[in-house]
Amino acid sequence: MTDVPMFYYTTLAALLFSIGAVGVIVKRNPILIFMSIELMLNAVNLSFITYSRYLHFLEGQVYAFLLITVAAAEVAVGLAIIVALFRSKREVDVDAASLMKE
Amino acid sequence: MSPADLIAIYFYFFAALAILGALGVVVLRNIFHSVLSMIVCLFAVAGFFVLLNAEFLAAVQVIIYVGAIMVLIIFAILLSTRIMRRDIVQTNAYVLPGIIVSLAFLVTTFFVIISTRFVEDYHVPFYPAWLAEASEKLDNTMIVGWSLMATYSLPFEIASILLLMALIGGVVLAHRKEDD
Repeated sequence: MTDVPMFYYTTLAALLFSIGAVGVIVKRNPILIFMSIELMLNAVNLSFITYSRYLHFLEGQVYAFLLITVAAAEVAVGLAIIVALFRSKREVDVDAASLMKE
Repeated sequence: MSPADLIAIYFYFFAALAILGALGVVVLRNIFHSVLSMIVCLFAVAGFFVLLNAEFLAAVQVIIYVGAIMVLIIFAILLSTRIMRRDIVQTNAYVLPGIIVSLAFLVTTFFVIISTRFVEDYHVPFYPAWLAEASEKLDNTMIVGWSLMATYSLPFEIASILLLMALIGGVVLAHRKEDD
C-alpha cells in the first residue's frame, strides 16, 4: 500500500512540538503553559504511533498509551497546584510565584 | 479516486487542523479560546491515529484528552482566572528568544529526520511470533490489550500506581483547610 511518507508525519510531530515549546517559554499563565506541555506530549505520541506503524514496532502504541496515562496524572497534580497557587496569591501568573527566589 | 489519494487528502486535512489548532493555543489572547483551539488540535491528532492504524489509541485520545483533561483544564480556568478581562497580558518578556529557540529546535530536528535511515521491520525479540504474524489480521485493540496484559503488565501496574498517587496528591494539594 502506497501511503503518506513517514517523513511527513515525523516533521509534523516536530512542528507541533516546537509550537508547544514556544508556548511553554512565552506564556505567563500556568494553565496555558500546561496546555503547551500537553501539546508537546501529543507530538511525541504522534511520533511514537508513526514509528509503530511504519517500522512495524507494535510496542509504540503501548508506550503512547502509558504516555497518555502519565499526562493524565500530571494534569491532576498540576491543576491542583495551580488552584492552590491562585488561592494564596489571588492571581495566576508564574512570575508571581517567586517565593522561593526571594 | 484511489485509497492512497484519499489517505493523502485526510492527512493534509488533519495536518492543517492540527497546526492551526496548535498555533491557536499559542497565539489567541483569550485563554478559553486557547482551550477550544487545543481541543481541535487533539481531535486532529486522534484522526492521525486512525490513519496510522491505531484505532484504540484514537479512542483513548478522545476519551482521556478531550473528555477528561481538557474538561479539567476548563474547570481550573473557571476556578482561577478572570477570563473575561481583556487587559490580561498573556506573554512574558521572552517572546523573541522563545521563538528563536523553538525554530532552532525545529530546524535541527528536521535535519535529523531527513538524514536518518530508519531500520524497516525492526524485530522485537520478546514479542511473541504468533502475534507478530497475526497482527495484520487482528484487531488493533486486541494487540494493544494483549501487550498491556502480558508483555507489559509491569509498566501497566506501575501506571495504575502512578494514577493513584496523582489522585491522592491532587486531593491533598487542592484540599482547603478548615481554619483558613
